Amino acid sequence: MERQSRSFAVLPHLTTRSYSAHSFAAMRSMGHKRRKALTVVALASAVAAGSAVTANSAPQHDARPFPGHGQEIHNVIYLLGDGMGRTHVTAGRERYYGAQGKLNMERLPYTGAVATYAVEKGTDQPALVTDSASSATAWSSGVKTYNAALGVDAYEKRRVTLMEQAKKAGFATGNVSTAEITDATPGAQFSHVLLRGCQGPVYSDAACLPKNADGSYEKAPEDKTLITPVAEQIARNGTADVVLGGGLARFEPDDQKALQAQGYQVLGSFGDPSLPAQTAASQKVATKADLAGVKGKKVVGLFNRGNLTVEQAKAGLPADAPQQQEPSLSEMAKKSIDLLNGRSKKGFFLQIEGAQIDKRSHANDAAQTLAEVKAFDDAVKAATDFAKKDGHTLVIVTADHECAGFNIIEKGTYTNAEAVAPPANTDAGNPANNSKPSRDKSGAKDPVRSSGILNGAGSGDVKNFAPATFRTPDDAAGVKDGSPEASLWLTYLSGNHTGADVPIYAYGPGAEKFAASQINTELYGKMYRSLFGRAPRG
Amino acid sequence: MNRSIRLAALALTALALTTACGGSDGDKADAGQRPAQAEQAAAPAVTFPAPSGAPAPAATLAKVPAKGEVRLEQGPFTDRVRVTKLQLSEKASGKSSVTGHFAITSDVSDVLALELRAAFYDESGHLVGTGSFQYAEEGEAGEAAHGTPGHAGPRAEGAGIDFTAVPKPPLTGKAASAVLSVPVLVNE
Repeated sequence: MERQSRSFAVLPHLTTRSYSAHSFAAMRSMGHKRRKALTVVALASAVAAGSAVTANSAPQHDARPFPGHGQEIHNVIYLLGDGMGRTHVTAGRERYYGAQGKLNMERLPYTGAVATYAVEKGTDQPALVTDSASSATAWSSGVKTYNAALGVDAYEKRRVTLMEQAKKAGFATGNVSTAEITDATPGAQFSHVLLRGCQGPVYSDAACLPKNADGSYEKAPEDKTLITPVAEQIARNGTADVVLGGGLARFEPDDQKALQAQGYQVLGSFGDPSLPAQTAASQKVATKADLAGVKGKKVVGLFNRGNLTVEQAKAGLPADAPQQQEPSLSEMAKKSIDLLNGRSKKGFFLQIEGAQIDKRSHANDAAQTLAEVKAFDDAVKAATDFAKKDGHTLVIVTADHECAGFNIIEKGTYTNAEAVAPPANTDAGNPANNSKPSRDKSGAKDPVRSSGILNGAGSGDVKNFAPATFRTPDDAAGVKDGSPEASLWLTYLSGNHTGADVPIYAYGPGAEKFAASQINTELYGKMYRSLFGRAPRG
Repeated sequence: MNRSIRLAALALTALALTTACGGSDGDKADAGQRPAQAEQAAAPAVTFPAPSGAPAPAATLAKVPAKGEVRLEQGPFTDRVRVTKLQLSEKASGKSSVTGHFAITSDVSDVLALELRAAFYDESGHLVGTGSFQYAEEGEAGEAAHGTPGHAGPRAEGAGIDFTAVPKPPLTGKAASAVLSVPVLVNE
């Protein structure tokens, strides 16, 4: 503790710079000498952060006090933008606030990076690109696991989650998402299944049982929880007091009955018990009016039968469209905080996911991706506004992985996907630098693969790899999205996750612990310490 | 059959909760922060209903479909898919199957699990057998199907895929109609 205090006290200005919101971009432009100095400082800070085993009652010190600094931690709000890589944040900033602006998450005082890799099943061999299930298990349970696993380790053993531990210790708990609430990210905090596809409403071998090398299904585990659909687990384990999101189709009337028996207020209706299977006609989704009227302390609100509607699409619908009855992530965040705050003397633990950043990135829809980043960032503001008033709340903002290789390219340039060949790869001045394959000239833009700006002239071509362009507040009045004059040019590498590290931002007491380059499993330990004032035993 | 009728509490669950906590650990890098066994044992001991599959198809149809008709049964996911070109086919060998085209209309990410079930009925509307079609684009099932981590070929999202549901085991009578349902659908 003493060592940590000293580390921050001696190097306050450098530490601040090391983890400023623009540190990655800034470091690129710095000289080698400067980078080296910063690296040393960064390592010192990381060591300090890593050794920060602090009790709730032991205020931590750094040179930059802020509201809540040094206070006891009562509440932890963990927000993640699913699929939100570093470029998603940069592009969101430039789109909505301009190059010199900042998203709300970027205004938080501490910044770091998180490595997200998974492991191969039954081993500790890294699998460098994670899925949402493995990543969420990493911060929820502190263990690396295989892609598709939820709440179990790489060897299919059930692992307790931070939300379960918080609940058992008397904290109020909440789980909020714009995805189906049975989806991987929310699911990892309050369920345990061998395969994330085991969401419900029914069990099936294909969805719930992993396969052996010969294609046969593994033997069902002794612990039948691990093949119990996530919806059934959520409805019966009482792990989260406040559950808000989508995914009504995963639930059945007996789930509603089980929830109500535990004292939950269930918004909408899970369906007609007399029917063998539920349908859109038999179920009734919750509405934001229902949510506004909630008075109870335990509530389940599912606002869509699938994922919630993306914000940009919602904005284009008429006011009386049913999708307009879905609350925004920010509205769900505010309400969940209202419901959880003061419910327990211990405090609360709340996870909030902006899920559609990932889903729209999979689709390579830059306009919707940007709007979802903004919607997520608005939820960050709701959380930090509360934390600033409260003074005892730690807010952490991060992502589970990057999705789709989102990139900002220079205005007027093109990507490899648009070209007939990759760039030239020769060094005429020093042939010793030449390697293979040697290319004496760069590939030109291929009009077949690049038929006009994707959200402009080329929008009708489904095989078009051209960038989408967006105006920013820095652009001249009259510059339109989809035009070559717009300054923000965005591209995707693929429709899949990538292995890039993701950013992390933190605010509140203990926030400095997250200002480090860290592995996603470390987030579990750091949040555990924040809630319980001690390290997990083991 | 309603799930509440099928409830059978699992006595093994509580035992499993205790025994499943040790486990090997796949996390070298974060060894100092592993949740301890004592912490693991803190997982709430909740008993769940026995995992149950999709409701069994009706043994007899109240309204007998026209000969050759394949009806799509409304269920939890029929509002997020489009099923077209439904056909009851019979090969020269006498084996029946349900074929059609399936497209997801609500999501564009990879399919983690899809199961279509065909229930076959004779001319008088009596069930003579069932068959299924299973599909995945991602995860173990997807990799097994395509031999690589990535998915190649048509996708269920957007343009959609063709499917064939073949009875297993063989039908107990001659199929005259069928009912198709979608009990499982999960996107990444």
